[in-house]
Amino acid sequence: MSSPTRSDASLDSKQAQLPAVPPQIALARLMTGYAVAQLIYVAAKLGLAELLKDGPQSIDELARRTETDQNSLYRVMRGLVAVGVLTENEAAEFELTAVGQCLCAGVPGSMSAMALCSDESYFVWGHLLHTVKTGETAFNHLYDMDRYQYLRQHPEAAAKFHAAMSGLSAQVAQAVVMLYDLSPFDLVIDVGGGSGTLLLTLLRAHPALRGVLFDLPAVVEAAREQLTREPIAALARRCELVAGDFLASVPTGGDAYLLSHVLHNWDDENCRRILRNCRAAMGPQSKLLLIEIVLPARLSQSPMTYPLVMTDLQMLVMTGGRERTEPEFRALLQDAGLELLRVIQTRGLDSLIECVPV
Amino acid sequence: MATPEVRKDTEQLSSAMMLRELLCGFWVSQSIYVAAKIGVADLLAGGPQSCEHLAERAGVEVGALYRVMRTLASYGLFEESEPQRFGLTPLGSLLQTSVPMSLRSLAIWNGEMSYQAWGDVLHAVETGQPTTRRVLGMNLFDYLWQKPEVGQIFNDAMSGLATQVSQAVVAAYDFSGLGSVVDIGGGQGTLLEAILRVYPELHAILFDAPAVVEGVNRRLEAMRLAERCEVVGGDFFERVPEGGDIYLLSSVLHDWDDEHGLLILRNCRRAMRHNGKLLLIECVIPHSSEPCFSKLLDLQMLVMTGGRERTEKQFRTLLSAAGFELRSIISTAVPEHIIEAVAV
Repeated sequence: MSSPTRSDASLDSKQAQLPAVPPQIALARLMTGYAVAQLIYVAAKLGLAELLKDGPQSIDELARRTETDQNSLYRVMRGLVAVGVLTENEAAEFELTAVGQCLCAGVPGSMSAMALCSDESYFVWGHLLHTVKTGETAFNHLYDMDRYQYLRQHPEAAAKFHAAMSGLSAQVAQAVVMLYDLSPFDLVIDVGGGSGTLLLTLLRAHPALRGVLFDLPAVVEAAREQLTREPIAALARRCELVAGDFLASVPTGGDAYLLSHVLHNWDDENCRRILRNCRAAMGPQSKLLLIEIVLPARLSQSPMTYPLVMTDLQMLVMTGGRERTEPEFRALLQDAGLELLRVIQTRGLDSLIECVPV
Repeated sequence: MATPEVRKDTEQLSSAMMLRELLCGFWVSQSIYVAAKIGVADLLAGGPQSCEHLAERAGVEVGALYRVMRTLASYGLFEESEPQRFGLTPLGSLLQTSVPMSLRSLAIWNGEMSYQAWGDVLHAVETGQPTTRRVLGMNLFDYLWQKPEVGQIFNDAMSGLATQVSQAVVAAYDFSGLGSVVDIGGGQGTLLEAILRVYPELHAILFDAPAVVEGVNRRLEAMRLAERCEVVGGDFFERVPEGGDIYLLSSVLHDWDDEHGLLILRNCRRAMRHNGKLLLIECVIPHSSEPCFSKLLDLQMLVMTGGRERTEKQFRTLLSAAGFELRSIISTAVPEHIIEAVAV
């Protein structure tokens, strides 16, 4: 049992002002997390945020437009009110809260695509116990192949996944632009750049910068379709698309290389391969920027810590990768002939790790 | 100084982070399920242990266990007192098997049956039918009947919750002056036990399905309550025991739709005399749009049983159709309220 003094000391002042929630209520709430998550999945799947973005709607109208059972939909809407995604006004109409607005597609940092693909993750997480018992990645156990083989064989799942990551990338990209000066660079190569959200944001902020989006052939093809669409076509002319596999090699000629949320998908051995391939492509003056969660060496209980470790478990279950501490990054980089210069914490979960060739 | 634009960005970022946190709720609940299932909290009852020791005792892989434990530590269930060494917190203590108000069985129930049923919640919204029918091939209670090992987890889980509710009910309602109390669908007798302990003159009848009440007598004897508590097996859709001064229906009606709920209430009314009292112990959904846990529990019923949580008005209508009048609603320390009704 922990001593009361110790846990009191770890509370921040804001928490200390809140009335204490009895432990059995606090634990019971954490235990219902799966239900809350599924409600948000349902909201995304039915497109509720799109239907509500222009103003409040009645339950009749919403049930008609989503072709659902009105009585059940009403109860779901009420559940979404309970968790703070919607509010219900006096006229029994539903409205989006600021949190709920993030479920709209096309808003900056939209979580809509992420919510839409959470069904896959939900299914895999049902088998966390298997991973803990055996150490085997639950995804591999269920599908008999790893997640990347799976995405290669299932273009629809891959499209959903990249759309989801693109929402996260928009959040990350904004943070990078604000914190890191890319003006000294001419050509930035985004290794494993997915749909190109991060790279395009950087190019938009730096009119003289050119970019290379490097990813698997199918991913690059999907990105090409998106890039040719207005209004970003002009921007896209500064962006070259190159298909390949970073486990085999990486394009040369860049003075800045980005690896954003790539390493956390892989175990140490594959990370070394990716980093060595980057190192081989880099010139003596090139820089490598990793955008990753950096775990603190020792964790304490804090609202800022848990999303970090939760993401680590997502990797445990889905990819067999992991989130790492600064010493762990340093060691991996060193093995690949790279040196960690500094770590810059963003306002979100991620950090920017600046590295140079040794 | 933050410009308005930066401030707007920051607000948007924090809203997005909050949504992401909600969306990842199943990551947290599944981690808690795993800790409950492998019995980590019981292994820590004597004090902090190294992760290696825990993994060996629980027969699991140490690397993966560590990553689950440190996550749960960040949510306040455990404390990493030294690197890779974990101890219990007040939250984590509730995952021990034999502590008062243990939530271990509920965590296992949530992580297995309930998790599976919720995976299909979209179907419930589209059709209005509980997903258990599709996922299990039958209704939940029939399934529990046919799979006694799953039924056991359910009963244990509900009995953990019942302990919390019972204490809250005893603290909020005065049973003095009454001769006998009948608990309809009283499960393992948790609520009656709490009441009989406080009122030494009171006699009771515990009524539930024969399979549920099997073995309850031995428990009551061990607690020296058997003399004051008669155990009766039966089906509340057919008839319930007569002769009580006050009847209890605790977390029964929320398992059923209005048609079945009405049947249960009418059977109670028939067994009761004029002016007899009936207490429903149920969540009452407020009319206001304020966030409220009972709205979430309602969805558990939608998905699992086809039942529902109800508003005051819905209770009033249902009671009145069965020959009762709703007299008062008393709030307690738990989300459940006491709804007092009288046979008219």
